[in-house]
Amino acid sequence: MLMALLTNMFMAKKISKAANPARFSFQIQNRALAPFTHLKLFNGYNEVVGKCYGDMDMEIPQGLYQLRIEMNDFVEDRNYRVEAGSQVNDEIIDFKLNSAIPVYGFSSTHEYFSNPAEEWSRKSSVTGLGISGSSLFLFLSYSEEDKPFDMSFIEAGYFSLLDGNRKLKYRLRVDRVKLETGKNENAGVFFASVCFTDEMSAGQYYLIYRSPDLKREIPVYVYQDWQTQVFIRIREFPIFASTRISLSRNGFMRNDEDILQLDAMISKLHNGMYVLPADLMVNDVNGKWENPMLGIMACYMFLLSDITDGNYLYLKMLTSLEASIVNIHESPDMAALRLMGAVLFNNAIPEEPLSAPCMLAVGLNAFLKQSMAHPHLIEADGLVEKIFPRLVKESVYTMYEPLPQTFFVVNQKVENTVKNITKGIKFIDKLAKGVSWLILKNRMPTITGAAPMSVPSAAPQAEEVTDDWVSSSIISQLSHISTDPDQLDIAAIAQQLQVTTNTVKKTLGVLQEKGAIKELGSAVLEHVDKKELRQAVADISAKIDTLLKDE
Amino acid sequence: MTNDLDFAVVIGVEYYQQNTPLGGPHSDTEKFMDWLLDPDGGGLPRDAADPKSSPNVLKLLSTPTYTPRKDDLDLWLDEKMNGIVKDNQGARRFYFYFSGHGIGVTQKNSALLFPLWTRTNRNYALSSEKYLDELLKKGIFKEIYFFMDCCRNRIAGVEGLAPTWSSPLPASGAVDYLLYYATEFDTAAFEKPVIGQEEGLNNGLPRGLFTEVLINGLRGAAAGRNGKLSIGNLLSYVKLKLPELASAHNETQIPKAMLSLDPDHEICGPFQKKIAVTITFKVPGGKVILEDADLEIVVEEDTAVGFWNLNLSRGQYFLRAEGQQEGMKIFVDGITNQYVYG
Repeated sequence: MLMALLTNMFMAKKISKAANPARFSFQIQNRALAPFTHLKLFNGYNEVVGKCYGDMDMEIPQGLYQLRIEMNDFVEDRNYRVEAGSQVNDEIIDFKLNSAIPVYGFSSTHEYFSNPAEEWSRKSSVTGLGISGSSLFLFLSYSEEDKPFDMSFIEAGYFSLLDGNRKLKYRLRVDRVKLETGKNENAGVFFASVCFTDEMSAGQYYLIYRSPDLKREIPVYVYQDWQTQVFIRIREFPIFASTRISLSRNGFMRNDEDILQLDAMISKLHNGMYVLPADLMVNDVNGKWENPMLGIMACYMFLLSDITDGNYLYLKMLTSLEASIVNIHESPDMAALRLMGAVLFNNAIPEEPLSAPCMLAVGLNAFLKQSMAHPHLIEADGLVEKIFPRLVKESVYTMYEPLPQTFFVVNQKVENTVKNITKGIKFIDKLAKGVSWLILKNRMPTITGAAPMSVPSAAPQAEEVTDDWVSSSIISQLSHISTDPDQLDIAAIAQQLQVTTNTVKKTLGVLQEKGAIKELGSAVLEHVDKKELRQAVADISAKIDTLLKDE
Repeated sequence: MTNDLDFAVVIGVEYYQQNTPLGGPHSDTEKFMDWLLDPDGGGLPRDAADPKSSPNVLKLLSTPTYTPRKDDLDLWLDEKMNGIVKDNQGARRFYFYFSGHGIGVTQKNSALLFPLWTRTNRNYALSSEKYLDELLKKGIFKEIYFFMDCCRNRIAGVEGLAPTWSSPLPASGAVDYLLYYATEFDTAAFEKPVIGQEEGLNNGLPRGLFTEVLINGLRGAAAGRNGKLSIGNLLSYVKLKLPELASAHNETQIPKAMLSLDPDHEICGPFQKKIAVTITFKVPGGKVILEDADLEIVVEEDTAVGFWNLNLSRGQYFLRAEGQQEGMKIFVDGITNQYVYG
């Protein structure tokens, strides 16, 4: 066998070929998505020889190549054997991309989604009549191979809509929505769509989903004479990370290429890739788009990119946006764009506080960040401030656990749970949990996070404990940071926890006033070294006093 | 020769108090540890009494009965760094490897969750950025490598904790780093049963896809045609191969690297320029042509014997029957050395 191996061992022999370069051209046929598509060409030694957004056209030496095509979640590799002097032309027609928006260009788009979306974005699902002026369109799409659609969440009315004053406007039950279900026999897929549409006054709204297992609130702004469209995919429960929000004047259109670009930009933003193609920027400057949401997204992208000398350009973009919609100036996202622009270009920080949460989380976060130095930007104890501890960062859109209706009394079961969780945990972790539990207990039922809402709880009999992670996290932070007064900084803690300074101050105030830390008893901390505990309690109490000394 | 001036912390967390258990971190961490101690890999010194461990490496694995804590890491590193300073011995590299649950904080920062992390104890995690910053300030290690095989999705209020040791002023000496995440910010990293050729890999147990590709790359698959393995070679290799592997599992995963180290800096090696491979022909007979990455013909022979044994340089090759343009691509990387054509 060894002999066979040796006799069959070839030494490399090379036959040289002419070194004329070859031409490599690659085209992206989906022109709307081309500027967002990244191409990277590797040679046969895994070395990158070319990369760009959009079409590729370059000279290369003969050889083996691999082209990587990346368009958000879509990744495809193509291999080429390129001979000297040859011309390689290749293209990609479309990408296998999924989206909650049933527009042409996504592999998740089907007529059984596009048809109802087009029909019911133009008619009220409540009255059946045609709509005009300002309106809201919610489109939920379901597609699963083995599972028929379960409409119990509609029957239970888990979705509701609050107006700007947080009064219940609609509970989206069966009689308020248009539901279509079926089965795609060819693909063996069960599908369903749920549409809710109605005319609304322009202004702020809150879309709420409240089931026993999942709770979310999404702020939605309705612009004057425009329709705000919210698209969400559903499985066993809504996939809020799939949310897309668009604007339209004439209802949904399945061949709207602006929406393709909007979806691409949202995905880029989600991945922290701040891509603003030149032609989109030009359109934005000149207000040449059909969908103002594309303009809003382009402004955010512009501000997040590395451009620092574009003040004039940016002002033109803002002016174009403001000229497009009557009440856009008052919207929270425009306030965020003005603030972010002021910060980037060293202009005066706006005086106006944020009236309601922005639809884009990046806008809301800009207010939080700037509020550390300019507290007036977020009203103390206002609705916006209460949102920060509840934020769920699963999407580029602002989403949070709905502001509570009421707080419920912590019962024995919860107390035991706390004990079980803390058993065996190092003392400081136990301390943090114990404090959190104690504060909750002390608060009930007098301290509420917000004015009671008029929306009844989906399951009013269920007991609910607000997750007071802020107080426990503060204790945890205080146990780790230095006792040096220069390092004890409320703003730093607020930044660390991504809440406002006022929230930190209030929590510290509760800890100090109630003496919560000192009240911790053996019931929660029975396994703790008493001496160690006493020292930790004293340290943390002293730090709280230091922090609040000048407040 | 061992690299006595290199140090490492490797952490694998499979068991969490409140999070879903993971299947791959322990074996992934062991694989990284193997590479660290391999003379052809990291080359760190082995413990005389236990050749699977090293006095220069802290290995933390969570088990149902043992829960690693942040202090374990901070105290060990503090002691090692104090020892290095006291002995005036200097240090070259510091490797940090983590496999477990993670949360994305910013583009540069991830919170690496320790087992005691819970929703209320939500900051019981290492901040990759803060640890890196403090190590840079210390200036003890000249090269710092962070490899993190974990998700980077986001949760509010999580930033991760800094080490307990710190420096009053940044160090004056040059310190460079590579911060290498398994996935882009706000996306998931995956573990899958990976079938490999290496002994013990093809057991169908979950492996972190990033670690799988990373280790292959570090073991020479990423080396350039000259056999040298630079950081740039490694990044390029993982960037190319990880999405391929993820795609084979119907997932999307793209690694993310940030670095101040020179991409031309060699991380390990050099590796053999020529690699012995065997190409077996399913249907022997007929002439087959083997072309290299530059389309130069390497072999053009009859296949009646049924196989070729060759010494090939690193890189891609193309096998095709005489007169055919279609064929099969193979990649000679030193990891795989058996190919079947036809």
